[in-house]
Amino acid sequence: MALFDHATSAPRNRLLAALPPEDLARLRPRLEAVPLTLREVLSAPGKPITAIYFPETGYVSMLAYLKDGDVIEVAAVGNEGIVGMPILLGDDSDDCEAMVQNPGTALRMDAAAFRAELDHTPAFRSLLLRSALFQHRQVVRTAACNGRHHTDQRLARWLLVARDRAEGGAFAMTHELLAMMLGVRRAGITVAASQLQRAGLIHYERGRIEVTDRPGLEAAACECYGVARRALDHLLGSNPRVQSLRCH
Amino acid sequence: MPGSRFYYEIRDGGILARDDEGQVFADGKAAREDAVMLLTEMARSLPGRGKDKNKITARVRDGAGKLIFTATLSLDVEWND
Repeated sequence: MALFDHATSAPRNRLLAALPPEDLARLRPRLEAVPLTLREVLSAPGKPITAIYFPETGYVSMLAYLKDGDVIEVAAVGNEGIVGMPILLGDDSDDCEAMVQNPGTALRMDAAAFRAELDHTPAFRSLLLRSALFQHRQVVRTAACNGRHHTDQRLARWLLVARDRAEGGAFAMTHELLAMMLGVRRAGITVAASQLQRAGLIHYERGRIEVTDRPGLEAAACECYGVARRALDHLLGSNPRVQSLRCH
Repeated sequence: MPGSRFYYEIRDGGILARDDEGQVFADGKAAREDAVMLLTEMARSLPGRGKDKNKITARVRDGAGKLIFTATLSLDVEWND
């Protein structure tokens, strides 16, 4: 799929879309359109990061591997962010693995070109640093949420975030994957999903989830969903081009 | 790959969830460890109910429907009056 077939088409990554037009124009030759394939590893823990990804569709999980073999999602990046944050902050690798959890497309930039652009373009550096603060705040919020909120609230929050990012209504998901993302037993997901389904908020069948009562699901979620939404609006400001890309 | 499929039925008074897909564990002992962890995770939601008597039960069956074990978490408050 050609993502830049017209010189003035707005990029679907919301950070790039928030850049001043002249800065975006200078970046374009350094951005390569790539697919994000399911379970593709974009960067491995401890290994040098060679490229920055600006997701356009789909999303990427940041996974922490524990010594006992457990895998937990500690952050997720969609079209509101970048994969490769350590490069921005002066390091060259990450503790977590970046793995594509929902396939889609991204714009990829070489790490060296990214560093050069950060040095050269204040608006680019400033926007990306604010994005880093946003990602940091998400992880902080998730740490608090994981420590306190119940599985059904956390599941409702996660499903709302996934729904926001998914194109079309339903999205593919298994209880195993949800258990990994929320750091709970798979059977705990089965119980929480049954609760949400009994309340008429979601419909889950053969690995696909559909949100059937969105306001109800927002009420069932912990406050962390609303906090994250408002933080994202704050990050991207009231840029009219960015607003037109907002998912519903 | 070693292991068999085990099926959960979780009750809390009424039925909370029945897993039709099942989950693979190396053996009954591994399934037991999972059930114990599951109940401790579910215990976190008990305070929200405000009930003095709470009981969550996880029944685990094999592929033939035979009951392998029942794990129960009880949390009771007895007032002294």
